[in-house]
Amino acid sequence: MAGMTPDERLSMLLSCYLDGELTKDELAEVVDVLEHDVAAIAEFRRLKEARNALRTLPTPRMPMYLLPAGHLGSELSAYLDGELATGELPRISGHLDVCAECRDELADLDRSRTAVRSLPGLEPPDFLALARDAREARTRARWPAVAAAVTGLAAVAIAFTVGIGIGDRGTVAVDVAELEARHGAVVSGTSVTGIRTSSP
Amino acid sequence: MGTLTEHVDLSWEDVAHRYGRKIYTFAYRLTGNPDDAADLVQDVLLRVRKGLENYTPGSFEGWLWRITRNAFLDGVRKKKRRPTVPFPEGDHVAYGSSPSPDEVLASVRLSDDVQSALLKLPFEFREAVVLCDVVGLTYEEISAAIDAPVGTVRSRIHRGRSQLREMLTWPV
Repeated sequence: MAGMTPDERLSMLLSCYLDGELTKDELAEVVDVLEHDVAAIAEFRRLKEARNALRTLPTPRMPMYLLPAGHLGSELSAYLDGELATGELPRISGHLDVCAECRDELADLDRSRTAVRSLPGLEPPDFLALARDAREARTRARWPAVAAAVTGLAAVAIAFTVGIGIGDRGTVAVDVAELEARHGAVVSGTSVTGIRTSSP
Repeated sequence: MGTLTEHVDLSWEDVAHRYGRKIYTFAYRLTGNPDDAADLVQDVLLRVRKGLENYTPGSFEGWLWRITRNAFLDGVRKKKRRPTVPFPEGDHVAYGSSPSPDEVLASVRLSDDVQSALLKLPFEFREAVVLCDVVGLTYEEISAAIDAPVGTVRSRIHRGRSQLREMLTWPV
């Protein structure tokens, strides 16, 4: 407290008094002054107002992504697939910045995902194809007129396309079998339905 | 995991949940800038996570706020700027006035005014009053946090409050 005037020293003690940070002797001195010194009381009020102004400031709202909210679990898969809402991303990336466990899990998931995606495609078992055929046969029986109209239109469209192709290219021969293979369509030689589309 | 006191084991996640908001509030009031406050919280939590391994039991509050203060000062040095919020237009600032109790009661301050005045304080005073009145540390904890004697803490808080009070005074 060197270099302070008596008034400055008293003012500082008043400030410390507000915080309960006085020694026993200082406390006795301050209490005595506040009982009879009007100027000291005014100074005490001024300091108290400044203190209250700070203490009653509202608590700013902190963004929740700054806090660790447990591990991310299933959200990691959604994060990898780009399925999270944009608003969720800061929280997820914030957590990943500070959580090594979730970073490791994310790396594992990414490896698994890549491995699964690189597997070769499989043909469906025969019994699935039979069931599908039976279902489609029932559908055709129920809606013969509609089916005939739709498939007829499809046939016309193909014929039209083939025709344009021949017209444009002159001597280019169209291989229907190749079209079938490329587009997954099956041509029936006898059925009135003409064409049925294979399942994807 | 690190043992922070003789009685309590805290992980860094516990520290984040227990002190994250206080750290954010400290930074927000010191800078007036929510982005800087968010950056500081992330920086402090990373430092806490690394520091817990070597933490030796002692004043945890002092340790944490020393980290927070250092992170803040590092951030300021990096950005080479001290964010400021200008006074709103038409704000009146009077110095050296001596208001009566009625004037004091009539002086209803909006938080924006207080924040603006806070940002006008020299850093050392601002830091001291924020740690005391916003964060709620004791003088001893502030002393540990800013690595200064308690006498200096007393003086800085007092001078911070005095200057703040002068800035927040206008004729009624």
